[in-house]
Amino acid sequence: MSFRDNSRHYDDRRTDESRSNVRGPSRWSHCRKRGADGSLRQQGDPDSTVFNDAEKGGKGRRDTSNRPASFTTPESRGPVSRCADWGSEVEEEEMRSGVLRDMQRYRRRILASDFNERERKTSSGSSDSRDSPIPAEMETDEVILLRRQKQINYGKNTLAYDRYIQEVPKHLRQPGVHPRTPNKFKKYSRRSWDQQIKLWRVKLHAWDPPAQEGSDLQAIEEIDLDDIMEIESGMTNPAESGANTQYPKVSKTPASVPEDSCSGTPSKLMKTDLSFDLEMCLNEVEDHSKWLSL
Amino acid sequence: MKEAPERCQKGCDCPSGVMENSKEDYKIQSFDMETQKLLKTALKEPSSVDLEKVSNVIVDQSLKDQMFSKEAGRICYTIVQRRRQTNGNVFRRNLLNRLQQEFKAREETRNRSLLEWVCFVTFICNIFDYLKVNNIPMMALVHPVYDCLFRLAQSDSLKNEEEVDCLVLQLHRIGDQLENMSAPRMDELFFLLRDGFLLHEGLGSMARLLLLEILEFRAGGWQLSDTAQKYYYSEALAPGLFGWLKSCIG
Repeated sequence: MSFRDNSRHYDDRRTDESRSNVRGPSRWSHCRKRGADGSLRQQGDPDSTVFNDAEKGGKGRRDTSNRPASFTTPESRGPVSRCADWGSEVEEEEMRSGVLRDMQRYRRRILASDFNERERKTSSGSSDSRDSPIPAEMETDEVILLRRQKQINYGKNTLAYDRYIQEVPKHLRQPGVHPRTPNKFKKYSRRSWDQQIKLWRVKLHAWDPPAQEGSDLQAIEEIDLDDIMEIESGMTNPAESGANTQYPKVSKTPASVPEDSCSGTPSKLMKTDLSFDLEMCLNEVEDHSKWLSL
Repeated sequence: MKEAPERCQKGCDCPSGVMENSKEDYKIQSFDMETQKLLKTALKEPSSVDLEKVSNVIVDQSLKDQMFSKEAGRICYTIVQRRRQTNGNVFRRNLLNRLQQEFKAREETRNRSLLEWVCFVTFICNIFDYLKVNNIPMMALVHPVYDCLFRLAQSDSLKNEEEVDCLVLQLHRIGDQLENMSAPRMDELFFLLRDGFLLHEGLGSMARLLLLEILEFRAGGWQLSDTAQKYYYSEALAPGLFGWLKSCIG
């Protein structure tokens, strides 16, 4: 008992001491960082306050040049930039904030469409989480989103893409016929996502500048639209699809098979690509069981 | 946006903050013919010129010409806005990387030429003000800009009226945005400014006036109260101040 008492006294004393160190002996008029003569109090001054520690070195000597010339900001969220130069740093920053902005829009749209959906099909009772994904199924991992965005940017940063968006206005684009940007906000396995990107890019090649484009378009027109579903029939990248609201309708044939989605593509090379993809997709049961079972 | 009232260094009344479109011509005329042509095309048809060259021209001129450095951001903004028609972000990337080089060499620049140093700070702040990423200031520039302003708040810089003038002008323009991006550093900067105002013995009266005004400006939420506005800018109500100012100008 006496031991305990002792130790408590000891602790009390210690906390008293440390408190007084932090606060400085006086809580009143002397809590200023200057003495009456206007000069800064020295460190270790009995009247010193926490200010002084930050102010160490006195007026005008807080040189910041020991900071690395290009450093990433401590308060920036997300992955730390590996960029050494401001140019790439800003580009990365732009991508990140773009993705965040898209994410907010996407959330809003999901909520809105979810609401409409429920109103429309209160009787049908069909559960199709694919077509009205709830936010819980959304991909929110920034690393993944940024990686995906980069892949998308590569695709969009092509002549073919420019030609495509010029030649086919958004409202004329048909699911399954026209390439559709994969939806970066959906949960997919890495392999599945990479395949979608690959397919998308393959389809975009139909708009490559070379002169054989006439036959390409021909081929596309011949396809029976009903048989063709895009792999990814949910919402597209919101930045892409603007006011597009027809996405919930595609739920009628959810068991879309990747090879179908590209039957309209013109070249042999793509075909081989695609059958390969079918295999891969089928192997990926855990990821695609959702839509195979529907 | 509030337009920061500017006091022309020469003491004349030219409103260097706002000028009509004649201004662009003015700026461009200070270039040689070839450069003029390059810049004009860059503004109208950015895809048809070498944007790397353009960005170098803009940086070089900004470092020489203070008038230009105050407005170069707007030119850059116009060019960046049109980058959809150009190959990606070449212009911005090159511009920022040039800025970064200059930033690294800022101390040498300052030792070599105060004018060039002041021009550089004006320019980087102007770029910070005009070029945004998804409507947010570029994070990559926040701390470099702060570093420059901190440099201007060092005691040796406070002795130079040009540097104080530059510091205060930048804070008028982008102080609120900077504070939004990093409030602790703004607090720190203002510790220095208060110190300078109170304790710096070599500080000229004009520098003191500018510092006092900026202290009030920030204290009022990056605005001058009406009375402060009258005090600093209206001759009728502050005859003492203006008489003194005139005597300074001579």
